[in-house]
Amino acid sequence: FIRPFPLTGSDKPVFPDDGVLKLYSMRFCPYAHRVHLVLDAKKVPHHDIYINLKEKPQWFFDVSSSGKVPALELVREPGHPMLIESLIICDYLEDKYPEVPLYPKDPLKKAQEKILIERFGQFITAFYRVLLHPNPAELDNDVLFAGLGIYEDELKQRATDFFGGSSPGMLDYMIWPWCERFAALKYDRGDGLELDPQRFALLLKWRDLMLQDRAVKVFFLDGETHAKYMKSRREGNADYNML
Amino acid sequence: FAVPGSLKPELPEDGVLRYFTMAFCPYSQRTNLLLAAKKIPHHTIYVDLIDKPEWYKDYSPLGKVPAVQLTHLKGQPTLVESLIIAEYLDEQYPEPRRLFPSDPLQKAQDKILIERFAPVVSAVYPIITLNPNPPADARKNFEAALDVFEEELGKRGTPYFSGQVIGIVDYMIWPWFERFPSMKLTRQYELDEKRFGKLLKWRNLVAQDEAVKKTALDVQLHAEFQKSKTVGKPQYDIAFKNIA
Repeated sequence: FIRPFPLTGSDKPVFPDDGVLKLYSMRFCPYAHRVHLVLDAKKVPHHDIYINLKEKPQWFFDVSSSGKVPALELVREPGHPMLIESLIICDYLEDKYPEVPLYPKDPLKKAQEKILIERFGQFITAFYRVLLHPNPAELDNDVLFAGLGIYEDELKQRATDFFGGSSPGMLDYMIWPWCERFAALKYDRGDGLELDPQRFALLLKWRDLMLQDRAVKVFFLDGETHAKYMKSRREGNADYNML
Repeated sequence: FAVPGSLKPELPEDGVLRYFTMAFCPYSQRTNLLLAAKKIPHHTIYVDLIDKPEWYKDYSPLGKVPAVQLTHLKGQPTLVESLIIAEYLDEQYPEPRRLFPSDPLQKAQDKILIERFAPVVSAVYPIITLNPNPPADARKNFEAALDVFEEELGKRGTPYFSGQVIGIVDYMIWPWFERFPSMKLTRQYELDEKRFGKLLKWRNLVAQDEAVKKTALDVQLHAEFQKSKTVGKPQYDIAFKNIA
């Protein structure tokens, strides 16, 4: 179920008591994107409820005191507990729905995967700097690409299509939202923001394979669409209703 | 091993886990607590975080502590990030008992609670590190963020956050509670007994824990360390003052 438009104002949506997980999200939020990917990769049914983050409805705070997205309401647990924090939600889904495993089985490899997920934060920070900077021409793009180097090296070392092996795993999905948005940068952030095909040959190949992945395709938005949203956000008028 | 300057220490090749730390780092203390709680044999190597030795990057690529090198495994890999290390060690060393809940929901809720401690840490940081110009609302934000934990203890209704016995939430947030009393010495500031009655009771209880006692540095040392930072380079050696 994908609701076609975000809910604003005070209307609390009425849902059937159907035991299906509820994901509170925002269509353009990359952190929420992570949870969509894992739910879809594991084929876990869910209702998506998109929240207007600038004018959060009061009913949302009643349901989730932190008011954050992503938030996952566990409707089959007593008290309908709400989980927040994208990585914690995704780790929970991994434990609860093990049929499509996304982490390696080996505890050491799993820990190393989590470290790589954590390290991607460097790229995320640089990405937002480029995105939100009033004059991107002033920035040193090397800072942006520096955060990607270890992932190119990792793909080389693993010699598999995806970080997760022959199909995407948790690392692939946790970093994908920003990799998908990378295509948006050239639309309004200027030149020089393309991945060097020599330096990032494997990452570019990986990106093309990810674009074919079922879970990625379900939620995919193209560069131009992401750029339009990002521009609206940069101008202080985030357009959640865009689609 | 306390390593002066940039000399790479001669580390014994004995298959014993290596724990890289800085004596006063609260994140690093989280790992120390795990090692103590599980009685995991380890060599401790102290790293100068200001003048980071070049060789340290071979173990921890960004030069961070804590880091734990698993010397008994092929390739002798090193893990970083205190919470990732905690999950790994808890799983690999289940004795005497597991610290993380096994139930996926309870585990997620404990992780969320640990994550909710982050605003406590960021609010108190300028106060506890003796920043000469802390933000005007630092104290207010610190206390508001702590309210969450006072309330949660009430909700859970157990002596420890993790239940009847000490567990992962208690250990992961403990390092800062060990340091808060230093503010009485440096800032004449203490936690309000009325507002934080349950938390203070919890703190006294946790202070009696074996692993906590083993890894503790006393309040005076914490205060001295923070003061040392205000006059120049942090004096890490203060940690070894009381060791012959």
